[in-house]
Amino acid sequence: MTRQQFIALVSEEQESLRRFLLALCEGDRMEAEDIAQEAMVKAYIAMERFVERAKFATWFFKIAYNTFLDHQRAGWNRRTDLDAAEEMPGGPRADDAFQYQELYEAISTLPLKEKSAILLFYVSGYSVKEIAKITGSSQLAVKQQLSRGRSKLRQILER
Amino acid sequence: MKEKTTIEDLFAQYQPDMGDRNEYITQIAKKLEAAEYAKRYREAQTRRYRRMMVAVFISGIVTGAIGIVLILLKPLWLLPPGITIEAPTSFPMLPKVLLLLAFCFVSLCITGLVRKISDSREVRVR
Repeated sequence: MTRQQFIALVSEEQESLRRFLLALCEGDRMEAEDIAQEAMVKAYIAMERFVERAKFATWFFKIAYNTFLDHQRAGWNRRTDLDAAEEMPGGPRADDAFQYQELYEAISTLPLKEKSAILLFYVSGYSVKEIAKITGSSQLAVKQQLSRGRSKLRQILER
Repeated sequence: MKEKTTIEDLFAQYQPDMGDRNEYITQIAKKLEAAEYAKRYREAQTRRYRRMMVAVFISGIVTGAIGIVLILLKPLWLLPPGITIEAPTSFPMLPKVLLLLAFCFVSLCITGLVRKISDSREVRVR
């Protein structure tokens, strides 16, 4: 696969991936973008290992999901100093976190596996089989995670 | 009365602004170019290192073979002048064994030295 082919494939998936990561990071745009870019570089370096018959999107999402897990394990390096906050530009994207607050609050109550399954299903539109490949779980486990996740979200939304 | 939001509604409304697509792809293309440069550099380093290891291995085998043959056939040539090793009658092979051990030790030292020089060259290049 050439670099141009890779970029063409990434171009198709990048928006869906970044949306998924943004939800997974509960609205933390900086973190989501860091993870997305790191995942793209990792995927590019590993593209020789990509088996053509496998679906690119699933493979790509798997790398991004594992990158997210690595960030979690390492502990997010959040910039909390006020100087950095002052430098950050405002604008329409800054209001996103407020606009989708209900969603972020709802999914923040879910354990990671349920949150991942729910977001991959509802935000990215993946099937149970694909979610199982991305998260490395069995299909049965994914179904249980989706069921539990939905049940918890319904309870929150009904409040 | 506020209508209950369903899960499907919640996610259907989730359409955050991801910015200009072309601008983003241009950014990514630059990062990938940098990543490719780093990858090629690492691959070239690995190839250089492998070639050097093969050269050291072959030269080690050759000099080792020559040294061992010399030790076994004419060990006394390898001793500095004025130094002799007395072979005890119970262990007549002692001089050859000692010289072989000394030869192995010197070989290990040379291998370690070559490796250190190679590592320090890599650090300088970085």
